[in-house]
Amino acid sequence: MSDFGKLDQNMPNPWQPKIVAFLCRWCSYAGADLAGVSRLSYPPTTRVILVPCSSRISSYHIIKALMAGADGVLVSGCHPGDCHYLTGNLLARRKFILLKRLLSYMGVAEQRVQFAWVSASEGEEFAALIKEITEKVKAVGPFRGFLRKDGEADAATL
Amino acid sequence: MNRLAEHPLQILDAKDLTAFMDALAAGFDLQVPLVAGDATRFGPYRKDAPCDFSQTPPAHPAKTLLLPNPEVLFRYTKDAGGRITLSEDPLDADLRVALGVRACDVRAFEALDAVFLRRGRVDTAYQARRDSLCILGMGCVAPSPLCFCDRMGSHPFDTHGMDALIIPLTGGWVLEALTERGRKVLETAASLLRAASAEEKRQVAALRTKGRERKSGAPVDFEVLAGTVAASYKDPFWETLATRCLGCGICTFVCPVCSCFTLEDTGKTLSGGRQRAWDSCMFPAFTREASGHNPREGMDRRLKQRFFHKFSYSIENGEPPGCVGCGRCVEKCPAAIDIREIVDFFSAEAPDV
Amino acid sequence: MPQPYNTYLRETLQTLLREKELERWLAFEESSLPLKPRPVFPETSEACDTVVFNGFCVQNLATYLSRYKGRRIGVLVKGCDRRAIAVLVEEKQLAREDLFLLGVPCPGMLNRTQLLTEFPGLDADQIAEEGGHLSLKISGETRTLQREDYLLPACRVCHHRTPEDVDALLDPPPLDAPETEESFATIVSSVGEMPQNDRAALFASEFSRCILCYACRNVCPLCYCDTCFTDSLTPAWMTASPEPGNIFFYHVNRMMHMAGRCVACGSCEWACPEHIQLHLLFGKITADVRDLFAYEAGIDKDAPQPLSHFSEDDPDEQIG
Repeated sequence: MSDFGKLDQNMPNPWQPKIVAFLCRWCSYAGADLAGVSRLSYPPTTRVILVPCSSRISSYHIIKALMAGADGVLVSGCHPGDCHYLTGNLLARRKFILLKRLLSYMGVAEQRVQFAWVSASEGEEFAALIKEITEKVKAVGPFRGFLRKDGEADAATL
Repeated sequence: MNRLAEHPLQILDAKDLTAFMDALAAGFDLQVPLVAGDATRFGPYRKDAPCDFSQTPPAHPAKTLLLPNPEVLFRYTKDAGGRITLSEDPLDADLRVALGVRACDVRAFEALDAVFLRRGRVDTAYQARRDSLCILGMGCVAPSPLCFCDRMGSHPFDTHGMDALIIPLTGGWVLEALTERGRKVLETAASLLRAASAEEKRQVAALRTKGRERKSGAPVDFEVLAGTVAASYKDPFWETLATRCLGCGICTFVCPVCSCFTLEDTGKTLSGGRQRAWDSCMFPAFTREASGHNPREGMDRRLKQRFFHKFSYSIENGEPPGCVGCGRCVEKCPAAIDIREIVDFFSAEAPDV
Repeated sequence: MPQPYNTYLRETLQTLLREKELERWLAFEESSLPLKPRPVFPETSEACDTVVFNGFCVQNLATYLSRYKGRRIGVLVKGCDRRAIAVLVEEKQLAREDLFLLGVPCPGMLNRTQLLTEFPGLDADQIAEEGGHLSLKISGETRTLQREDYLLPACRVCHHRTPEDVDALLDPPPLDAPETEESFATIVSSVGEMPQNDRAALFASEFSRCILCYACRNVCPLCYCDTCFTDSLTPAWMTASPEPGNIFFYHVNRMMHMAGRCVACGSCEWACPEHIQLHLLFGKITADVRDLFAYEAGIDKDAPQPLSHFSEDDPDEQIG
């Protein structure tokens, strides 16, 4: 999928993962904004997509992002109990836990698909979250596509 | 090197089969029925990939050799300056050798030829693939109880369209070159072959007679069938059949004749392409129009399309019938829709005009 | 199944067709293929004369009910057909009062492919289903097989064979075949315990055979959307080519749609022309829903469907 895997790790510009981040507009996107205006530094690995609520995101979007060349996907919304729409993130949480388990069961490295709750006041937490997910996705290497007969885990050795 | 010309029937001992395939694969792109699950499907011969010649016919039709799914029609790339470059994949030119294709699938190639070569427009990629395909066909010693090629104007040892015929015996294969091209291909493995003995010739003749005499039912009169099917548009038969049909695409995908396709653009920003993928007239989206209107919304209409195309339109247009009697759809249909029952129903019925 | 049972079944259908003023029955009859009964929709007493029931009547008949909405239909239901109807009623796709459900205590359905592979050319006349075993008559000899060794994967782990809340139940049952102790949890955890690369390779190998014919979707009683996401053009989530991305997208998203709804009838696996082990997927989602939300589709009728509901105490697997 991604041509980045072909780059030599020792080159001056080593491979960096591409992470699609679906952020809810009320909490997590505002948290990302706060990280920015606070001039916090975090890896430039994410491509942010603004969504109205974490429950807007379904398995379609997550799998399609990986199909289209992402190495990891982050879905982030308000903390449980704080949803602007009262229950969106609670409904999303059930969906995500099933999807996360199913993907991991089918052999997709579990580091690739992550969920996290970030509030509008958590700029520092957002920066830390991006650092953490970047490290996790880096550890499993570039995503080379679904249903590969040679598996997934060996990608890290590329 | 004239051994094959002197002795048309050559024997390959069972123990030499791997060496035979290795010899062919050294010179040509060799395609064999590869094992996938409990089915076989034609694919490139590899030493480590098991192949199986015992399925009569192989579970997947040999049309995969002519109509890859998907098939890239062209690709594009866009460079940093925004310049777009179009490219097409090179046409097949080197000889490809398909080993173990059955008579039904070779008959089906003729129906595909009618679509891709003879409708006033030649599909160059198809033609290149067709022309470069050397068919080492295989006779069916033990035809499946579900196939009925004998009713569709063929028989299990039909050599029509083949470059060579293989007849499996207990101890090995009997090989008979039928064309100059077939002879050339077999000669690359000549050291593994020997002339057939009188006893082996007798066995072959007996098998051929048995094959030719196979009678799984009454031969189909396609002119009569075309007429009765064409007149059946309002026959409640179709609605009854449609009550059971699930509308999946199994029958069309395992059919060696079905060739309908859809086009898909698989573009990303900097590169992409257009490709052809198999489609099925059993899917509602096959005819759904941009307005949302679907002229074949009902299952009965889609079923009618499938069988009218096979038995009526093709004959009217002077093309080969759309069914070669391989029996694959009979075997695979989850709702047990049996094309033989349809043929029987309309062959028995007088045109009610 | 012994012939007297089919006679008893036919007579029951004929009586009920008349007494309950049914438009038609949904049941099974033999087809032109061995060990593959097909659905039949008899409207008259005479038409009921071909009806059979045996260990090969796998297909979930609830699939056909969407074609008869609002009509008075009788259905011969196994445990899984009944559960599918319960989900369809809950989702307001069917009205329970339109239907007359004749329950048949299911003995667990048999694996046709497995039997035909081991005993090529086997015909219905050669098999006698007797309690927990099968008697096969092959060239004059009788072979006895344990029924549970030849059950379909979904049927091996089924613990709801006898349909509940039906309008009439066939009594006596056709067979008295014992259930196994297994559950999807055991199958799924044995896959889950494999190293990640092996799991990836297992699913790659299974799904490399997928031809995207959508038989699994079309045979499913609970896949009733007018337009499936596979056919959506705006957005076009996937295309028609059987490429790994499309195949993965299709199967995972279909499973997500089945979460909390799948009744584990196994029709999808049975219909698959490639014999892909789909029970590894629907078994996983069924086991997870049960494990996480203590819910069984078509059984827990009073609880809301798990994915249209939540609890503040739900498990949370956010990063960290």
